[in-house]
Amino acid sequence: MRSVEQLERRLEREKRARKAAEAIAEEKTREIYDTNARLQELNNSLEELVRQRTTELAAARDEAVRASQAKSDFLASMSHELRTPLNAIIGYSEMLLEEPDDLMRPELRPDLQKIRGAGKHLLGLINDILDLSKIEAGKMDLFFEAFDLAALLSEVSATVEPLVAKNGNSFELRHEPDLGTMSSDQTKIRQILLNLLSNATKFTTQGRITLSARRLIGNRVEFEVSDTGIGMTGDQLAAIFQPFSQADASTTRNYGGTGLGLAITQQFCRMLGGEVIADSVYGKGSTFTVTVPEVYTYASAPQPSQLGRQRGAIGTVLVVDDEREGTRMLAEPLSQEGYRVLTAAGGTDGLRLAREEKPDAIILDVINPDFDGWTILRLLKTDAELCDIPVILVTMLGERDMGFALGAAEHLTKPINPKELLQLLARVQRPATAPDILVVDDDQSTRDMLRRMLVREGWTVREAASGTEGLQQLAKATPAVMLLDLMMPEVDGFEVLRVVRQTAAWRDLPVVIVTSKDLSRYELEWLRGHAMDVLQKGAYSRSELIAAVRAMVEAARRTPSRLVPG
Amino acid sequence: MKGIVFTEFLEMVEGAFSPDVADRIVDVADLPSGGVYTTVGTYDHTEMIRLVSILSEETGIPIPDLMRAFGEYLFSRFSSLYPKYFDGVDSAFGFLSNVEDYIHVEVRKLYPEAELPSFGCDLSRPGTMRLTYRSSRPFAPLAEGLIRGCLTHFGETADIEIEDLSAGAGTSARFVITQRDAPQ
Amino acid sequence: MAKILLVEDNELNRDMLSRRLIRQGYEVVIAHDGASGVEMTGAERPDLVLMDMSLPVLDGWEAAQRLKADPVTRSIPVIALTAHAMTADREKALAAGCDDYDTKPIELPRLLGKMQRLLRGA
Repeated sequence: MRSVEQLERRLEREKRARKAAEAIAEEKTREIYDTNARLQELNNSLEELVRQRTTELAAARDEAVRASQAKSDFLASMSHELRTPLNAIIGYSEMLLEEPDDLMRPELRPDLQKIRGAGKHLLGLINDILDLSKIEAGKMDLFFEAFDLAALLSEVSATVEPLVAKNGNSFELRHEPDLGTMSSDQTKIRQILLNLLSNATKFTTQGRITLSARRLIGNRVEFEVSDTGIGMTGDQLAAIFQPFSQADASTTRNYGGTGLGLAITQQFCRMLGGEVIADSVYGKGSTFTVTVPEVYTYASAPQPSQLGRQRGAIGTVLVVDDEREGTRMLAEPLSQEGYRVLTAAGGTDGLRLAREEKPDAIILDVINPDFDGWTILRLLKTDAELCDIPVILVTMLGERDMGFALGAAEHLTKPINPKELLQLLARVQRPATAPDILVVDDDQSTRDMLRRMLVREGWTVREAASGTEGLQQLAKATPAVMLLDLMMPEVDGFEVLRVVRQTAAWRDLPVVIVTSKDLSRYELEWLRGHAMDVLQKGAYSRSELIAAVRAMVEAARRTPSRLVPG
Repeated sequence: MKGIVFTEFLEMVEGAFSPDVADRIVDVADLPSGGVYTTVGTYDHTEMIRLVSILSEETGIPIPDLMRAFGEYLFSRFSSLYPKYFDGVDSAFGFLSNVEDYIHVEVRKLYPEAELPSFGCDLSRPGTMRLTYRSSRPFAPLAEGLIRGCLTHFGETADIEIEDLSAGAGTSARFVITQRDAPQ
Repeated sequence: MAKILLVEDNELNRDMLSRRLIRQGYEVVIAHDGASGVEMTGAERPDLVLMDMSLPVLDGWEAAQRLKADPVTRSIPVIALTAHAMTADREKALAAGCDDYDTKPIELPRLLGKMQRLLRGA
C-alpha cells in the first residue's frame, strides 16, 4: 500500500514537473518570439530609415544637379538676353561715331565713346561670367588646330599695344625666330595671353611689359608675361587664381576688371593640359608663366592630377650622362624629333627615373660618376621590371662588345651624330603588342598600298571598304589608329568622323585622314579639330604616314584604357 | 538555484539510498515547490539546504560530507550531460580554469537570471591551483565535491587544502589543489 | 556695288547692320527668317549672304546647308553670324558649309574685311 502511495506521489511530482517544464519552455518560446519581433521591427524601421534617407539624398542630389543645370541655363540665356540689347547700345553708338562731322556735333563724340566703352566693358564682364560658368558646367568646348606660334604672338601683341601705351608702358615681344607651329586651341591660348597681358597693363605704369615664348624639352611651349608693375604680396599671390579675388576690393575700384580673368586663364591652361604659375615681388612686378603641350593629344586631356606628367608624343627617352654638355647633345635632337626626354646626371638618379617613368629607351654614357655605366647597365638588365627597356650605350671605340655582352641593344660612339641616334632609337623602340590599324577607304588599290606599308612596320591591319563597314569594324573592336578616306559613297569620311567623335568609346580614337579631296580651308580646319592628322594623297611621303601612325600608336599605348588590341 | 541540481540530488538519493528515502525527505521537507523540480526551472537554494539537512538527519551522515559526496556525483553527471564543456580539455586544472570564463558564460546565455558563484583561479605556482570560491550561498563543501569529482574524472590525484574565507559560513573558501604526482 | 542679303530676325540688329552696310555703299536686301533667307537667295541672287544662326522657321545652319546643297546658290559665299562666341556654334557653321563666320557683337571693320575677302574671291 505504502509503496503504491509513494509511487502515486512520485508520479504526481513528475507530472507537475513536466507541466512546469512545459510552461517554462512556452514562456521561453514567447520571450524568443517577442525578442525576434522586436528585432524584426527594429530592422524594418532601420531599413525604412535607410530607404527614406537614400530617397532624401537622391532627391537632394537631383535637386542640386537641376539647380546647377538651371544655373548654367539661366546664365547662358541671361547672357544672351543681356548681349542683345548691349549689341544695340554698342552698335548704335558706333554708328553715330561713324557719322561724318557735318551731320553730327563733334563735341558729342567723347560722350558716345564713353557709351561705347562702357558697353564693351559690360560685354567683357558678361563674357567672363559665361566662360566661367561654362567651364564649371563642363561645357567649354575645345577646338584644336595647327597654328603658327609667331603669327599668334604678333597678333596678340598688336591687340594689346594700344592698351600698353595707355599707361605709358613699353612693350617687348621676345622669342626665337623659328618657333614653328603648335597644335592646340588657338582661341583659348590667345585669350590666356590677352588676359595676362591686360592684367599686366592694368597694374603697371611707366614700366615695361614683356611677352616671351620658347619651346621646352618635352614638347611643351612656355609663354611668359612679365611686368615691372606694383607686384603682389605673398597673400595676394596665394589667392590670385581664385574667382572674384582681385588683390583686394579696392583694386577693382582702382584698376577695373572683373577679377575673373585669371581664374579663367588658369582653367583654360588646365583644359589644354598645361598650367599657369604666378610669381611676384611686391613693388617690383609680376611674372606669369604658362606651359602647355605643343601638341594637344587626347591622351594629354586635362586630368589635373596628372599635370606635369605629360607624355611625349612618340616616346620617352631617358638620357643618363654626367656631363651637361653631353646630355644636351643627346637630348636636343630627341626632343626636336618629338620624344619626351628625361635626364639623369648619375646612375642612382638614372635607375630611379627608369623605375618611375618606364621610359621607352635609355641612352647611357658608360662613364658616370657614382657608379660606372657598366654597373648601371648590369643593374638595368637584371631588374625584371626594367630589363625589357632597350639601352643604347654611348662608349669609346672598342668597348662595344662588352656592351652587347651585358645586354645593350645598340651602341653609339662619341661624337654623337644626331641622325644616327634617331635611327638607332627608332630601331630599338618596338611596340610590345602589334597594334591594329583600321583602314577605311573605298579604293581597293589604296587599301592594298596602305596595308603593305603598315604591315611592314609590324602592325596588324583591318580593312573596311566603305564608311558603313568602317563603323561596323569599329564596333567590333576599337583599333589603335584609324586611317580614314573622305570621299566615299553613302557614308563619307566626314560622317564617319562625326559619329566617331560623338561616340564616347571612340572619342579619343586617333584618326588620320588620308584623302585626295581638295580641301577648303574650313574643311581642313574642321578636320584638324576632329582628326589627329590630315594627309593629302600624293602629297605625303610614306615616312610621314608611318611617323604619324607611330606617334598615335605610341600615345595610345600610354593610355591603358585605350589599349584594346583586338 | 538551477533545477538540475535538485533533480540530480534526488536521483542521487534514490540511487545511493533508496526511492523511499528520497520520497521521505521530500515529504518531510514540506517545501514551497512541493519537491517538484524540473531541470530548466529555478528554485530557492534554501530548499536544497533543507533537503540536505533532512537527509543528514535521516542517514546520520554530516551535512558537509553529504554535500561533498553530492558534488562528486554531480560532476560525473555533468560530464555525461554536457560533453561539450569537456571538448579539448584534458586535465582537471584545464577544466577548472574554464569554469569562470567559459562555462558560466555559456550558462548565462541560457539563464540570464542565474546567480552563479565565482571561481577565481591562480595558476602562478606550477603544479598548484589556487581556486577561490565565492558565493552568496553556503555551498563551499559542494564546490569541494565538484573539484574532487573533476579530479576523479580526469584520473588525477591531488591534495586539497581548504582555507575557509567566510568564518564557517561556507560561502567563501580557497582550495589549494596540489597535484600529487606533479613533476617538480 | 555688291548686293548683300542679311538674314536676321532681331529688329535692332537688322536695322543697325543694314544701315551701316548701306553707308559703306552696299546694296542690302533683308530676310527675317531662315526659310525666306533661302528663298530670297534664289530670287535675289545676292553676291554674299550674312546669316544669323539662331533664326525662326529654319535655323541658320539648316538654311546654310540648303544653300550649299543647291547648285544654283552653292557658289554664293555665306558668312555665319553666331550669337554666342561659342566654339561649337562656329564649328557647326563651318560644317554646315558656311564660308566664314563672325561673332556678335559685330565689329564692323573685322566683318567688312571678311566680306571683302570673300567678295574678291568670288
